[in-house]
Amino acid sequence: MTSLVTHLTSVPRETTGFLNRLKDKARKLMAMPQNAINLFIPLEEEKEDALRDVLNTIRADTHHNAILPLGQFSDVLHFARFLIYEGPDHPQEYGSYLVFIANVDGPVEDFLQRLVNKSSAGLDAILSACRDYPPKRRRTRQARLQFLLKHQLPAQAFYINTVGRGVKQILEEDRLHQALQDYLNSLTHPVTLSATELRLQLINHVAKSPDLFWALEPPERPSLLWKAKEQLRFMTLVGLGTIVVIFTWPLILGWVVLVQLKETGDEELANRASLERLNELRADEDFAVHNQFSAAGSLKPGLVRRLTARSVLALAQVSLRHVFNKGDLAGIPLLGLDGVDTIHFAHWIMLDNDQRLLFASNYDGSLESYMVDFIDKVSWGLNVVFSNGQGYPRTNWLFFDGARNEERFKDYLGHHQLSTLVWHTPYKHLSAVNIANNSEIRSGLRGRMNETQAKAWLQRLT
Amino acid sequence: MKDAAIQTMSYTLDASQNRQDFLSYPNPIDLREIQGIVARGYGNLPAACYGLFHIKTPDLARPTLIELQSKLTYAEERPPLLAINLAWTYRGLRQMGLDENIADQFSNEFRSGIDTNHKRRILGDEGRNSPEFWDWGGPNSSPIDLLLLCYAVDQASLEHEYQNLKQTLAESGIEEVRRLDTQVLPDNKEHFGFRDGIAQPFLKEFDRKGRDLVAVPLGEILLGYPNGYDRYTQRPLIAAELDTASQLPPDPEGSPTRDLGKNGTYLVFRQMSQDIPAFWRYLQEQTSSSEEAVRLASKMVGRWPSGAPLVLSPEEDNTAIKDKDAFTYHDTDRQGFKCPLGAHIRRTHPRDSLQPEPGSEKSIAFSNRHRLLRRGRSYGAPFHPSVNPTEYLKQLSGTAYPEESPEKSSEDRGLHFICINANIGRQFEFVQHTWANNPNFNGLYQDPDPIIGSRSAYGLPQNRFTQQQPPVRCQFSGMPEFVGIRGGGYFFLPSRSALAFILSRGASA
Ligand code: HEM
Repeated sequence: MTSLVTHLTSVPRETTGFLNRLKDKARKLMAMPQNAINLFIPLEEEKEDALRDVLNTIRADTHHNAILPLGQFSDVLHFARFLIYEGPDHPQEYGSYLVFIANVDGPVEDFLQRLVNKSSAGLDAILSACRDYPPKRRRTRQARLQFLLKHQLPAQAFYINTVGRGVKQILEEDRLHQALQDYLNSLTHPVTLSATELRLQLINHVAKSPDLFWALEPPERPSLLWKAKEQLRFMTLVGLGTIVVIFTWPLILGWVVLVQLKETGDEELANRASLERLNELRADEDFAVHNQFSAAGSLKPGLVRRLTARSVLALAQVSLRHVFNKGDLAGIPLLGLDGVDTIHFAHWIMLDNDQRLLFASNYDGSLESYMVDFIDKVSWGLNVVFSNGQGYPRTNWLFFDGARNEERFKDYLGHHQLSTLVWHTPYKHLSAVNIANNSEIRSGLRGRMNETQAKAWLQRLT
Repeated sequence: MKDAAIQTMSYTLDASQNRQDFLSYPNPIDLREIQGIVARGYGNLPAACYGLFHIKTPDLARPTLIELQSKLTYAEERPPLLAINLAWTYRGLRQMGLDENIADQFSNEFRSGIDTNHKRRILGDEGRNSPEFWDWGGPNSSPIDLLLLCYAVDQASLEHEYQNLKQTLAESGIEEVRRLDTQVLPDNKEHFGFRDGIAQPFLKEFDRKGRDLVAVPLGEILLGYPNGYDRYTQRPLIAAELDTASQLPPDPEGSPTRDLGKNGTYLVFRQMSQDIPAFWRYLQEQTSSSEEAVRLASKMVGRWPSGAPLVLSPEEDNTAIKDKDAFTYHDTDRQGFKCPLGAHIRRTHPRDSLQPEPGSEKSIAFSNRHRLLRRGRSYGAPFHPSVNPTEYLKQLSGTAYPEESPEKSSEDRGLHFICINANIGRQFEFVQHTWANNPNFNGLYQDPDPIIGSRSAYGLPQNRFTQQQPPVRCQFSGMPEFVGIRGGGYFFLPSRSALAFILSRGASA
């Protein structure tokens, strides 16, 4: 895309403007409203310690620190984290990466551009520890941006709790919720109005408050054109998938049997990580309603596993993007499968030529409750994806057992969890359920409701 | 294993019961192995105290502790006069020389202890509740190795027995760090004025009435049995050759090792002071009559003072159902109009009200993997001898208070909260953190458990209580802390044979 821009420099101004707008439109149509940034940048060994110091300064106050105050991006930036992850040949050979993972509204390039424009000094402080970062005199904005873009890795699968809900909306609707609570608190209880009357009173209050007035409008949502495109994409994929299944089902069946045969011979990790290590990890947790989780591990060797992992992630990606995009991960009532409504974002990223897989998520509650949710509610989903990892508790037919083996599973995570050196959240007091509820509160300010509907809506104001 | 022994064994039963009553079906559990406090709360022994001890000279201590074994009470008998149980801290086990490789197989929570920075954060033990300020169990108080739980039929015999024990222990270098007294309040009430100790996980194996309720798997409460996932919870397994006296049971999972955990479990102890004037004064401020105050307080607890559950009797107290525990939330009270979503008992045991699939057996099974067997007792003189909220409120509005008798309000009273569970992380810590302290529990926003929830989290105040009602909730804010943490610890409650092994030399090989 950037090469396109350079080619266009000779074209007259108006045309560029028009083309740019067109290009922008096309880009918006193709892109998701929320995107994942995954940067993996090789480090210079001798600079790692200094980098850790820099990251520690950021960590102390991710919003306002002097190096990279992430609070200034609070209109588009959801969660962000920095890690340092060892190379595939560790400890024989140094190959650590600086990892930056973030969830942003709008295109990744736009965010990185803004990052470069606003925080070039801060970026330099961090990136100068990286291999091949341009030397001082050659550090233009463009050079920095190029460097960042060059080190992007795609997420093989990416979960967005609710596609289309931006951070601005989340923060605004939080304000709305609080304002309505304050208003309700100013009334005499028990309120003697009917639900419909009370609702109208609340709507009136919002309409009269200049700082809440916006809430009467629906939130900005992806365009109809975008939705149609997504539908089309999904249908095409389902269609293609069906065709593939029809023609290759014996092959797929054989494949599954092959994997099942392999499963019975797979080694499972049968011990706990050291207590010191686990407590070190715990020391970074439970400072907000939600937590970060980062983990990585090696895939089981061999083509079968590699292909299984790739296909499963590809399938996961289709379902995450097109099915599990409204607040519930992996819930399929028709099949009696339960989902979880506590995950904000999650990424799966293949590394080192498919030798390793990194998983990063932002979830509500403590790690204990997160693991319990995994085990109790979505073990099948985890099993399919993670059973390709070395040492994962033994699965059966890909879906069964695995994570249901509570302690083996917890131990497995303990061995593979990575320390998240910096973690940023712009709404540390809100759970995913709160955020969804706030949106429902807002949308209930519009339209007609009968008494029953109004009653149900008012109960959202708990 | 000891199968033959189990079959031919004759249990000592409660005086009032015959064998059939006690064992609802052929009992595969060796009750002689399990410390009595797991099977019963010793309600017939109203006098009780807890002694916290420190082992100064292990070699001197060993013979005395070996002798003490024969005095301990096991689940096979319902002691008519006296009961003694013994629990250990991780430090205590190491102090007695338990080999590191064995000790390291205990649960992470037990090994780390209750006061790491992370535990403080999730348990809410921060600010004035920080372990630094604790009377016992914190970094600034003497280390604790042993917890002796003593129960007797009256205060005089308790005194007699405890003093004897204490002296014997002292003579062999086991020093009392602290003695914690208890007080049984009328009607089994706790100090705020509510009947306590009603709801417990139903364990078929200990049921004396042969009831057919949804049972909590024994492995949730005791080590060495299948837990809520039908697996065996982490516990120390020992190479058979270390068990020279062949006293430990074999690993029930079939490995050639011996099970040091089986029939033992973990005991969590929290000394919680209760500020009666703060509680009832807050309720008085929020309401306009003493009737309303009691009602709001009951909404916070989820039961009326008599014990009657709010879901079954939402409008008024009803002593006829004071011990009722057979109820659920989803079908009767999904929205929390009867028992608020944030009430103490609805948080600490949500029954069928949470995901997955509220109202279903799945939801109940989910709750049942986070159950606690509560065995605590109150301490300190009641704020008013009747332990009746109406009297409390009168006393608080009366002129005699507070200026004229400040000692009444400042007197230390509260609950020695004790609970038993096989997995401290998934049970006690989960209940305290994910359900009680969590201000966002069940879709709420800034509501901690009104009774035991931490009043701040994530650097933000969390002090609201929401009473769901039509057409719209009523919210109470600025709720102060009503309880404080004065001490605490994680203990291991070994089986009879595990204790013998720990005290034997083989353990320190
Ligand atoms: C001073 C502190 C506390 C007070 C005054 C208190 C009071 C009560 C009362 C009045 C009940 C209802 C009676 C009953 O069902 O037995 C109850 C039940 C319960 N409490 Fe507490 N409690 C305290 C601390 C705790 C703590 C620290 C926990 C756990 C972390 C806890 C867990 C429970 C549980 C699990 C129930 C039974 C709920 C049910 O099964 O319906 N309590 N408590």
